[in-house]
Amino acid sequence: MRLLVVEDEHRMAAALQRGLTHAGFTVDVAADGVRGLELATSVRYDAIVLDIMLPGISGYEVTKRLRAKGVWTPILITSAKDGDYDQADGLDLGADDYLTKPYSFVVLLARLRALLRRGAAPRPSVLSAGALRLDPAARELTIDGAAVELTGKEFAMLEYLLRHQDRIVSKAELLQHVWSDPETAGNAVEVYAGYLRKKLGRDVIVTVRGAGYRLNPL
Amino acid sequence: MTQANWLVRRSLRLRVTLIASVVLTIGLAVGAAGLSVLFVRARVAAVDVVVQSVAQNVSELVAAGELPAPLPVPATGTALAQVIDAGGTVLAATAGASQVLPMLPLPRLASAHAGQRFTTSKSALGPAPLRVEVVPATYRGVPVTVVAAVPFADVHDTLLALRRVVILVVPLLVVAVASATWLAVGSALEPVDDLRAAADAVDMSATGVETRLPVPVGARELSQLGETLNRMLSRLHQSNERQREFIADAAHELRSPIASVRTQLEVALATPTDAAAWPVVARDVLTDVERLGRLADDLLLLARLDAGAASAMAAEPVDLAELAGQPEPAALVTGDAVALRRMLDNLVTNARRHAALVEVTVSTADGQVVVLVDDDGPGLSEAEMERVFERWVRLDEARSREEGGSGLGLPIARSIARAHGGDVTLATSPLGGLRAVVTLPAAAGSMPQTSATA
Repeated sequence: MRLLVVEDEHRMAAALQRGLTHAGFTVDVAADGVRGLELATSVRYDAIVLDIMLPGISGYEVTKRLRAKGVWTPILITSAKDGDYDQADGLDLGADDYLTKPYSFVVLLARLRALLRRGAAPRPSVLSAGALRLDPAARELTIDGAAVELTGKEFAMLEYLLRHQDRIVSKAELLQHVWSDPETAGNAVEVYAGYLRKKLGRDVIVTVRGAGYRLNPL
Repeated sequence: MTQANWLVRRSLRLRVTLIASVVLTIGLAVGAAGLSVLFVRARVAAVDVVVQSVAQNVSELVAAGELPAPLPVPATGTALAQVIDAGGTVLAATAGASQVLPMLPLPRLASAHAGQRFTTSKSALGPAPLRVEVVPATYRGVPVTVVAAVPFADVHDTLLALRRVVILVVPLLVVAVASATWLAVGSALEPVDDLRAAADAVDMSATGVETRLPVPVGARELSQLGETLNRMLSRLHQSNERQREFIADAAHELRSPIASVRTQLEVALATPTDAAAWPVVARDVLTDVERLGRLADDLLLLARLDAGAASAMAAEPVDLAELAGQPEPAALVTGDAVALRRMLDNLVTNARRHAALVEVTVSTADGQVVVLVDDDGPGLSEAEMERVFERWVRLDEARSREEGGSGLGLPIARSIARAHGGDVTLATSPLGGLRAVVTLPAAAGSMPQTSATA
């Protein structure tokens, strides 16, 4: 397993390299954001350990640019910033985990193993289909860049359809995942499909007779 | 606890109401008393006119030696008169008066001065008060006394009626005014209560949106108070935010070397390390610990400067020229040698970080010691020159923290200069780089116009 460590404190970076190598990883070290971005895009790493406060470009920016380029390598952010929003921002930008410095080396290893189990499948933090772009963190939906207001249930239903846009989603499945009490929700799915069609256009949600719903990207 | 104290500790509403009620009660009582005095005086004056004229008429009759029976009285009708001789015998009397008994006891008659008018309730006519005038006269050669009197009871009755009205009306009026005051003060103070409740609910520890108090509409004093409080809240909020940011940054700066130390030690323990490698680990850890120590010193110094430790600093004569490594001539200021050395060190270190050539010039002019720290580095833009004085700001993003300094050097230098009544500013140096200008008030008696290069 090949890891990239992006860390500007060279003693810290050296210790990490030593420790991770001893734990069986192959480790590359980048001392600033620009070098980290270069390496992460040119080499296929299995995971990246990324500091936030870096000379050049920040760890946030590195995460954002990697995800924008379609690099889905699992990213573990490590930072001495422990504010709620520091952590939330890092994760919402597309990082997979966040560890506050100083951390235990044992915990770092365990978290890296967990990340490696999940693999590098595409995990966009902003969902899109055609002209639709849905940001679950900001709770925003745009069509061709224009914001569209959605209620909570409309948003949740569209998010579920977007996450499974490659297949038909049954009514029962939508009830199960979007409504807290599927038994009493009745014909809620039909009703909300109607609402969404009104806001997004008639053809965006296709009813497949006897099977369920499918997203039809514009 | 005294009475006054008790009152002061009650609510403003109760105080105003009590004071209004007491003032009104006293005012009405004084008014009623004054009114009755004036009324009595006016009535006495009117009655006196009658008494005097009756006494005069009767005296004229006595002087003329004529005493009709009964004696004639003016049309007012209530007046009485008697003519009494020295033995107490009634010689003549008006129709309403006794023909036999003197109206007043003889000793009272004897003691009365000529022409004196007085009020008495000890007459032969009973307890009803009389207004009396006693005039000595001579009837056919015999000394007699003329007594004229007018019953005074109607004045008394009117006074009683007046008192009844006052006793009935004053409490009603006081209760009415007290209720009105209570309600008016209550409604006037309602916005104050709202303000108080809102101020109580202010949570300065909350981040983000700053709290505003409801500004009372209407009463100018209260709306001004609300606005003033809001401005104060806003200032508190800003300083709170700055403090919060500073602490968050400080936490970050302190955690980084700690994290480095921890990871180095954990990795060293977890990996088989030969004896020769341990000194390397120890040296690396020591470097981080030293960095941590410098940071702790900087933070403590800043905290002390922030807490206004200017007064706690030494106030001894310090030769800045000597501190700058330039022995002659002296440039004396009054202050703390350790702190001032630290200020110069920070400025010179900052300059060396970006430049090859650094020049320090110390001069004295117009009661000011000026230290210039010039370098031939890349310099800064106008906007950056102010920004570098903010804490934790490192303009050079491409540098790592280790070589880039803590981001506290310039803020500390400025804080020290300001604690000494001076300042640090930045400008462009003739050497092409940055010029840091320190101005400090010169100590009294130092030499003018000195200059040197270090």
